[in-house]
Amino acid sequence: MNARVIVAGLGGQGVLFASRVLAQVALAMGDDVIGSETHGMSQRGGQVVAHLKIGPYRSPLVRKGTADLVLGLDATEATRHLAFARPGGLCCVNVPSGGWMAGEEVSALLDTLGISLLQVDADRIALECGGPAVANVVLLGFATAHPASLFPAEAVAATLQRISPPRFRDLNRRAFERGAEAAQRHETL
Amino acid sequence: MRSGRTEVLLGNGAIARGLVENGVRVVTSYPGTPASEVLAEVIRFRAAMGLDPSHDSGQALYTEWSTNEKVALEVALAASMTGLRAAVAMKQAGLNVAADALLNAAYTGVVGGLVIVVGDDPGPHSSQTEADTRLFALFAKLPVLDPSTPREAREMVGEAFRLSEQFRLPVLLRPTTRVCHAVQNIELGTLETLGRSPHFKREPARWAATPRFRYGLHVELNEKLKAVEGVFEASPLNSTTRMSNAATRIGIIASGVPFVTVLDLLDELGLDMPVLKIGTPYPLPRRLVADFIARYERVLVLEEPDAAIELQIADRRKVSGRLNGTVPGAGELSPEVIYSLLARVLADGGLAKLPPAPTEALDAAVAALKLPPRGPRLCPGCPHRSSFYAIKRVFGPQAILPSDIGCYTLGLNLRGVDTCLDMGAAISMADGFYQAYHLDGDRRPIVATIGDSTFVHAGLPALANAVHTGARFVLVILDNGTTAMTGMQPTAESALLADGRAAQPLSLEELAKACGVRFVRRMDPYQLGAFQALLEEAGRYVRAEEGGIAVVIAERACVLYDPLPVCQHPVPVTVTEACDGCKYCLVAFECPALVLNVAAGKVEIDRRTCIDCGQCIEACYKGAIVPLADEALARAHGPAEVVL
Repeated sequence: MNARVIVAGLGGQGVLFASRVLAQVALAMGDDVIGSETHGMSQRGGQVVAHLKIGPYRSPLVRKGTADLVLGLDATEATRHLAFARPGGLCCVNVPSGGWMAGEEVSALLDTLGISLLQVDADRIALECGGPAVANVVLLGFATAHPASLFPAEAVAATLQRISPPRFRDLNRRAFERGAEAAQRHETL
Repeated sequence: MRSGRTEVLLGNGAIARGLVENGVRVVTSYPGTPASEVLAEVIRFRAAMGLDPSHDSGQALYTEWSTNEKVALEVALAASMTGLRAAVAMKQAGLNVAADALLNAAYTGVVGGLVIVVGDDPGPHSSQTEADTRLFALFAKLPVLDPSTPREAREMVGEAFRLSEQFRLPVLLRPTTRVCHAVQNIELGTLETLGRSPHFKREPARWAATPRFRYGLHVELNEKLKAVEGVFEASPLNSTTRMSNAATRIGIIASGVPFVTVLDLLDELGLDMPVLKIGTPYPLPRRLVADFIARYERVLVLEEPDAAIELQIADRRKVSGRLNGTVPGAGELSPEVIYSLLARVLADGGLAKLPPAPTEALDAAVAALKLPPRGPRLCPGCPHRSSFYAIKRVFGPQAILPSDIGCYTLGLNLRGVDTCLDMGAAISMADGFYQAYHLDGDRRPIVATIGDSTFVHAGLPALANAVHTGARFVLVILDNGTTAMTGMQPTAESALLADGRAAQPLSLEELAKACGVRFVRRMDPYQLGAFQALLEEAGRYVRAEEGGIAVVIAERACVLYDPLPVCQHPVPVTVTEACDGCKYCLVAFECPALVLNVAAGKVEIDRRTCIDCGQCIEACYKGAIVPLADEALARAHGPAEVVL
């Protein structure tokens, strides 16, 4: 596998867990993985971003314009990191049901660059699953179910089960599946 | 030796693994981002490899969270003097605290290998400075290794131990944030069994050297460094890559994270430029570097966070780096910055014109949105918020509020923090503010805030000084029972040590009293009314003729560390019609769970982040924030969540 991923959000949203799931998927598939996490002060509700590079890379940082996938757990943080996506890349963003507010110019540029921006109300789905904290897993399910996803959905689901703490295993499986279903509904729209 | 098992490790985990695999017997640390995880990872690997002190393996490994970095270094140094391998981990600011020990240890030297892991923070992401520990190594005259990735950091630990024992010198390992907090798959190795027992050999001319002997030790140190430089000239830690392109007129010297950043960039861009990687910035292998520079018309030096390699190059006529202004003098060398540096150097040389990054226009459009930066904030329910709110209420806008390093620095957001300099400075600066104002007879209130861990780290000498010199101020020790900002490490008050063994817990009251403070009181800041009354009493004591320094210990567990007390006694609140959107609570209480509904012109409770601490009830002087009545509670939460 060869993939570059950005996961952006706020402290407490599970940015690091989402990126660690994808890192473990790569490891299980026998690929090299390197990435960068945010720790320390910014974790107190501030901006948190994880970089992940799978394949023959040596540096932990993704350069702007080269990410295959941008996962945004928060709409503002996703917007801030949109330019990390490569032309033709995929951005999956947790957006409250109100919808996207990045402005016309940004939307037009995304179109020109062929960057697909997919929105899902992961917070709402997570609440329906029984835990607001699993929006990150909903978004993972949503992103990996997309046909353009570089990560095989079964491998991500299996890894998620393997590394989830036992008491969150069922909740995480539900959240992942609900995220995937939301993506399939997108497809039929 | 490889174990055949692979794990995705944090850089700090990779360093910890390297320490344990290389037979380290004593590891000490004081938590500080980005180096905090090293010790916890050592403890994890130690348990997995059966090296707990409780096992009689002859390889037992001792660990401790020391009270500060100077103590940590001295504990590790003494262990090394018995012939055991030892290590200490800290952040760059911690090395300032340990500087005296470090500079002296360079002269005395070591016996067992001593590796000093210091995390630098280009950016800075979680630090007060972008200090470069490689320059500190140059100043202290100690070798330093500069890893580019977690994998290399693990390898360098072994090299550092060997070097340390060969030359009987402490060796610094200097990762930066993007190594410490990088993740990488790493094949685990096996334990190197050294079979050593502690044996301290008396040698007063070295271990207790007076200035007369120190001259000789300095001469010896210089000779050691010369020999180390010779080793580095041929070390595999320094290497050249991409030397095949004979036509190029530009070379790159890079170390640390910029080295791997530039390699990935050259791959992406399909560029072939020669790169000299430096893994040993001090002492710099000067012949290797000079030979490389001689081959090219211009050489770009990429290093973080300052100019340690560049500074050691005697003839810099062909060199472009920080010193001639080519490379920015502050901030991280991100892939974007290095890309623009490469573009500039290549264009200047008439060699190539790099295309703009593919999403440059998108980047500009996003920047034009002027998205507000979202800085860190005290968590909902954080007891520090209650303390700061009470301090502001009691002492008013005239009060000077020196604070310190920790989560509570975020009291800035409540305007409860006027200064934040370094560990322990809250107390000495309160002392200084008092002395300065006292000269003019101005008796305005001064209220210092400091965390429990920081107080023991460097606050004690400051408090002894302030008491002794007759300063007057209120000191609030914010006692949340843990070192929260860096990841919940135990403090000197904790009943358990880092590895779960029983500790001798210290009492903050007794420590304060031992410094000579006679007014020492402890209270839960969640009891806002009583806590404000206590602060008023403390203020009166400070002003009283027979008074002095008043210490108030605000005791309440960090809600992330121990959420149980709030879970057991939830006080859910709601905002009534009486809210007129004045925003007083948003400014004065600054809780992330209080949000303004702009359309409604009212404040609302964000149920996703609110933890039902109920502290904001006091923060609305119009009485619009009230406890949620039982039936309303049932409606808002649904029956399932009423049972908390």
